[in-house]
Amino acid sequence: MSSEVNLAMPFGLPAEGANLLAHYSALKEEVTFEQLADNTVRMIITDRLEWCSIHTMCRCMAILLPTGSTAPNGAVLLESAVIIKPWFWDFLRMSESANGSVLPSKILYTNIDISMLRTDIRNEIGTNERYSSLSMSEKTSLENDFLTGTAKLLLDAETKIGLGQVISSGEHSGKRSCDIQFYDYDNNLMDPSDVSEIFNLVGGRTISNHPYSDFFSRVVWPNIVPVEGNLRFKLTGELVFSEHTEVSIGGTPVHSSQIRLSPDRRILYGTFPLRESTGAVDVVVQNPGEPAQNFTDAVTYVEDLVSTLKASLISFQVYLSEVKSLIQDENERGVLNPNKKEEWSLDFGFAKEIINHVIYERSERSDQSLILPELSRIWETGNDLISEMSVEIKSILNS
Amino acid sequence: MALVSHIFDGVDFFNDIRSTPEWTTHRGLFPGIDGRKHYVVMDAIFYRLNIFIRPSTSRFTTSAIARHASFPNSRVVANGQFFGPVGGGTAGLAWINAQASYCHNDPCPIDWQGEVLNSHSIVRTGNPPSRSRFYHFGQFDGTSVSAYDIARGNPSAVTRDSGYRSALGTLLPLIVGRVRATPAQLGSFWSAPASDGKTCYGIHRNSNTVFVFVEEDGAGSITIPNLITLLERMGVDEAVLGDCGSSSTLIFDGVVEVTPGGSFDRKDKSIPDGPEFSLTDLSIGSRSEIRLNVSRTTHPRFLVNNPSQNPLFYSNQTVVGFSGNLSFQATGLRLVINSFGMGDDPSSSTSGTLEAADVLGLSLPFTLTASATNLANTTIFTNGASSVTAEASLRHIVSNSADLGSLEGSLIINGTEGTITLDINLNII
Repeated sequence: MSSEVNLAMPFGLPAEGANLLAHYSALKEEVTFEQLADNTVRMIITDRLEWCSIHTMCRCMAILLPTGSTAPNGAVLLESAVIIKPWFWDFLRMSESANGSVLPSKILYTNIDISMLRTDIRNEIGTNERYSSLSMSEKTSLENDFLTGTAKLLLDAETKIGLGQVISSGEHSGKRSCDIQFYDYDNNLMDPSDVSEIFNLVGGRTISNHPYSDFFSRVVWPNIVPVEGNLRFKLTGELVFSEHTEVSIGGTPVHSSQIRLSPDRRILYGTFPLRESTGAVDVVVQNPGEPAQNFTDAVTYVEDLVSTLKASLISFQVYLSEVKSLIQDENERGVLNPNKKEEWSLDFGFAKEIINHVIYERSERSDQSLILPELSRIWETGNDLISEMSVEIKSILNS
Repeated sequence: MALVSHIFDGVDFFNDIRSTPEWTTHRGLFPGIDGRKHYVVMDAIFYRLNIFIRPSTSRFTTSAIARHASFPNSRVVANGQFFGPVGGGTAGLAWINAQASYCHNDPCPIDWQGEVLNSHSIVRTGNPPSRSRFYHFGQFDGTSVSAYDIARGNPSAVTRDSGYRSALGTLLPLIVGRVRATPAQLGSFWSAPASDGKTCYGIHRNSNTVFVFVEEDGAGSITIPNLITLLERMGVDEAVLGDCGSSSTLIFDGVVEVTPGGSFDRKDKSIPDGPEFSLTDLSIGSRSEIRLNVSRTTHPRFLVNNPSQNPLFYSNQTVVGFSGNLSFQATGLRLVINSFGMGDDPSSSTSGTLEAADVLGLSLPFTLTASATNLANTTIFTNGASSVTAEASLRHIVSNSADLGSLEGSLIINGTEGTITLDINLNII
């Protein structure tokens, strides 16, 4: 999946060969985010090119919307903006990993510095093989047409599309700011956290550990769980975990034997406890020697089968990510011996069964049929990603 | 005997496989291999389902091999449903139980999930005891595909036809009533790589066959969605998935064809049960009937209005007490008749003392054989030197009693004095 669909975060991309953790750690100090009431994402970034260049988040058709034109939600644009539509085939591939979630069908970049956009578009047209057959005058014409909103360009993910505009006053004076909006197929503004989770599932060097991913990722994922619990979750955020980290969900502690940490200790994996009632509950994280962190209503317990299936699918993908990262780490450290492989095989086989167990349990208790087409569509969206991740894991375990 | 290389595909696969020489030489089954696909197709009339229970101190394959050694008619054993404890517990205990679900050192007792039935009774309580949203595979007191079924729910909840004699619960659907299962019904198995092990049992009603399909873990060749498509294309009516992955196992005629996986033979020490298919002779019960079909008789001794001859038959009387046995031999079907029934002898004061065979001029035991082996169609039996043929087909063989149904047809005796046609209705038990 990740090799076929290239997604990227919208700024601060690491150079080829860069130390990713060091890069993202430094980037974190150079950016602040705001999520506005209408779900607009505002990024405020230090005005240095290595941090503040704005990039396309996927392969796309891009077009400039001139000042006075209408945004997908009907709002009149006070300044020029760039809107991108994900490339159809990537959109399809992305849908396979989206757990039945709604995908962004358009991404709108506003607050763009148009002069820098012209520079980047000129560079794109001048260097991309796609335009090599055009004469200089044709390239200039294409550049002008794009910047007047009369021509579309096919751009790859990570293509530079200018900078945010400089903030002239206030506490962020001198920094650059750019706004992003994600629209669904019906032109409704999407929650950026939903989009972030889709991007995180696809992953890749320009996504994993990026401050944007961290900021918009939900603390707990999946954030819905059937009352039977038993599904695997991941806990992320501005946290570094230890073996002694304690987690409780809705007041029930997550059993310590169920907790595993990612190699960099920035992700905690655990198993949801069961709960007798539905509704949103708090998640409390207690690192030794630190104040407990309470994440209000971070998880919602549900009883309906559709939500259960979504949660199960996401949870299984989370589990596969967990196992993949841990066995890759053990493999690289040379400690993935036959006994460890056997333990992981055991774990993996059991995980598959648990997922079905949870789904059937909920079906039985709620007396809801598993034959509903909607349920099948949900599982199908994640099918290929699960299959490919399973193959990757098995290939390591069988090597 | 080794598996026979034969493609597992095609609309006519199941009917065609019945016509192969191997079908007969293997006595009503075809043990096949198609690349990495291992399968055994069996005549549903002659193969009976029993749930094989692993003795807790033995390995699954070892005990299945021993079973075949002591009971050679036990031809096919595969691994069964999901096993080991799952779910429950305030802390998501399922994940802790992963280690507790297998025997890591020596073979040990392991609970299966849901129900297992043999002899109409739950063998022992599973853990959990009920898996009512899962599917089951079972056989009633009968034979042929009519006696086999796959449906949703715990098998003990099925009460028709006196309930299942043997059944395996906690299975996942692939095809039920010719309708393919949904991704949601198969969950993680739907998304499993093609290389994963898989175990499937199914019914093909048109060919009167049941089958087992197994691929070894790590050497599988087909994904579950594609397997469903394949089975659909082949006209399979019902199919379910047993435990898959490294549990997948197939033993045929005492030879392990698909070996369970897991380091330290973990699965072999742990699999608690599985379906066993045994070649079973059909007995002809005492409630069988033969009746002279007067209108088709040219034999002068049996002509109507000739009461001085053959008192058993001249007025369309029926004799009862037919006994015998129907079996699948390596050369075809064999019907051995030990008695044609006893009727009243007018010359005797004791009723039921006249053996019909004597009247018919036949010596006992009387043996008929057929090279065609599909009793669902009309099958012609002949008796070597004597001019006796029988045309018979099996009809509706699920019943509420120990009777399995009836072999219906006619027995034609061409004697020197003409032809006698008897209608036969053999009570199969």
